[in-house]
Amino acid sequence: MNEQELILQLRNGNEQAFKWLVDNFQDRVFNTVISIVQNEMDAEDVSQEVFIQVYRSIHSFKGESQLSTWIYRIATSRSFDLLRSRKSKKRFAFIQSIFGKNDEIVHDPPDFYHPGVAMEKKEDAQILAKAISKLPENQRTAFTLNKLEDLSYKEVSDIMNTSVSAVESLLHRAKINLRKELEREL
Amino acid sequence: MLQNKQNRIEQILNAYDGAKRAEVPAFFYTRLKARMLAQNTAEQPVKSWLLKPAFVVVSLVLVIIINAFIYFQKDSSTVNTSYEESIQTIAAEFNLSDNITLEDINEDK
Repeated sequence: MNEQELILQLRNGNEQAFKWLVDNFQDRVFNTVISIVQNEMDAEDVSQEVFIQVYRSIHSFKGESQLSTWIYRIATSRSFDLLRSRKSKKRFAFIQSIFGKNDEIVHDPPDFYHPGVAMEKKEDAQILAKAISKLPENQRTAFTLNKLEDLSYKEVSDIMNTSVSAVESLLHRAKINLRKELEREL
Repeated sequence: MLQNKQNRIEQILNAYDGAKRAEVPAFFYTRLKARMLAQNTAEQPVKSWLLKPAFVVVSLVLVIIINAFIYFQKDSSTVNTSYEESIQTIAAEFNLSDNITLEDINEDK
């Protein structure tokens, strides 16, 4: 099924076309989301939201970019939405604890380990994930898409709606910041 | 020592090299469909014609016309009230029901 045909079928509400889309994109979406949100349950939840958004807003997809680019864009933006809401919930819980309204202790999630990384690199991957979580959004997006989704600079630049040189610069800065963070940690 | 630390950092930075793509948990599609179905039944679908621009514009124009009609009707009815009526209303509000003239004041003196 070519892309135009798929989009047409999705717009017509074809269930088979939607299943085909999910089957072909679910791992790409899940891998991107889990790399950003760093939690398996949240990642599944966000991945579901991504496909629901794709299904509902396929009529507004103008076809100016590839379908995969559009889906990756939704996946990254949904993931960062979750991180922002997580942060604001944490802040709110902290304020509540100051005023004694909430006795619950806010736990930081345990160290994340990307399921695609080999067992012998588990410890290193955990330290790296922690350092990545401290990167600014755009550097984190570029790093995740390039390193974990194995996308080219051109593909990353299309998803991030920027130039290839800007992606190169983001990745360069990401590596510098990661190095600094790791120096602090070790 | 410093060299060791740099090597260790390099090693950690390369931890994702050769990483496989994380796979979605089993029965993902089934759970996705169930969620979509649950959302569809929970959300009361808004009738699509209610959101059409033509319907929205016509509704707005109608509301404006009705408002304008009520306003001007009220306005014309207040214009008809005479000047004397207005004075009497004010006098009643301030308990000045008796007509006081300059002569009355002089008489009081």
